[in-house]
Amino acid sequence: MGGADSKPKKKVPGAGPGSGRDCPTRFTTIVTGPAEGITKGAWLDVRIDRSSGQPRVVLIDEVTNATVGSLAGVPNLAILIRCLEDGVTYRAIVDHVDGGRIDITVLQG
Amino acid sequence: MLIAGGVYTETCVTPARVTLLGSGGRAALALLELRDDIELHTFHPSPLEQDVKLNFEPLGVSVTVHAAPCHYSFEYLHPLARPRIVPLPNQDVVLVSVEANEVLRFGCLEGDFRVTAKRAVYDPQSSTRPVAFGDNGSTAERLALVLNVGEICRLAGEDDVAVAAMSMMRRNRATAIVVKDGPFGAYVFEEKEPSPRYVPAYPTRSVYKIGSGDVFSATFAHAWLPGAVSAADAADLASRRTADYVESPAFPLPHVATRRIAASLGPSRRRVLLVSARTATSSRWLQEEAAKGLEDLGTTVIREEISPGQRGSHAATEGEFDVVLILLSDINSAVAETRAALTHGKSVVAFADDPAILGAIQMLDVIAEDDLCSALYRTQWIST
Repeated sequence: MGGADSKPKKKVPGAGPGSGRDCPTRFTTIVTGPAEGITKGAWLDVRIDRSSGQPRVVLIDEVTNATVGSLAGVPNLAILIRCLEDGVTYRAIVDHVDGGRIDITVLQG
Repeated sequence: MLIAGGVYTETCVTPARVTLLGSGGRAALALLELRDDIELHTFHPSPLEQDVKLNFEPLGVSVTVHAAPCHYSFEYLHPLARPRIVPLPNQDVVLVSVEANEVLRFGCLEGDFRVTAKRAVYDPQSSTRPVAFGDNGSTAERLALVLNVGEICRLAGEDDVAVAAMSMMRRNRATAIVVKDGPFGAYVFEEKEPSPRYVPAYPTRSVYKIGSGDVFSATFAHAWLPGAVSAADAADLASRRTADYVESPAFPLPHVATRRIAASLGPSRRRVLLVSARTATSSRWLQEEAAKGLEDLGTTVIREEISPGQRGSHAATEGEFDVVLILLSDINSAVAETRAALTHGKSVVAFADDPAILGAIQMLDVIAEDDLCSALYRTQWIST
């Protein structure tokens, strides 16, 4: 995920957004609106929350089942959302915690 | 508040970051904790419109995307490096009119916003080809400009910042002008004020420079546009919140800016002795990047290269510099080189991205940094 997208990617038949073939497999990002208490090494579920109308990608602590943040300012977020809607699963691991900045790696599967 | 600005992909190699923010997107996120009426107008290719909306609308930002032919990426090697812009910007830009009581306008690559506002803040966002606010027909009853030293000198065609600011104030009919000067703070020129007010920078333990100007402009606009706060006080709040951002570049920013001690402004720009090994290409590259970054911060750089077998030899003499920056890359010689740097009797900042080197020098009286941008800024803020 990420990188330069100066134009829409070429479509391969049967490989539209969310079909699995162009779903991101791994990317790093920073958590938006992180809850307190997130620790390095924690695993987070990546899910879609539609409670406010617009789909929002949220991060759920796998132990407490609490929402601990969301993703924003991330390239190709629309593709990630389509992938999640199509059943592709993602988890994130917390790489680094520095005050209010939480670095995570999001992984498919 | 209406924010008119670009949303771009920004990549940084070290520290590794990939974001979809740009000035407009970052300004919107910077104000999340301060207000709930943020309206973002930006440009993007129609097929990618949803990508912008899905990133910002769930956070309460109202987004209007104006169609543009391409999406731009800014690629940085490190936060003080000059970015590579992909693709090369086109000269034919889209002109879009926006109207609101309060507007924050940024200069954009793919288009231009013609603003009609009661109160506006304009950040031209270009050190090479800045454009004046009214050049595209924009109007505002009260206008503040936020620029850095390079931008205002180019726009005004003057080398003296105070002369340039007065010239720009007249030409733009601006009420206030904020001239940012990196780690040294900012100068605020206000209508009816005989002399500019200095607003300090607030030193932080780390510096992620990409987007710092966006956060500054957004916070300044939030505080100044309603009219109850002077431009100088608004700039001081902006400087404090920018410090919060560069230290921890994640959103939302704290509702109340962290208490910090202001940087003291010395009588003249610092002279930094840049010490590095004369060995591999990577060391030479790092030396060049560090020198370029320091010069961009307004510093005079004196170089000292350490040849193999000549650890600790000093080319410069006492009193010729204020601070030592040493770039360390060899675990076997790091301690000896750092001790030699300390013999100058000056404050020393050491950069190494190898944790083993940082561990080896931790007992020495130096500021050790594993981030290049932070190390360069620390040379400007460290006590001398």
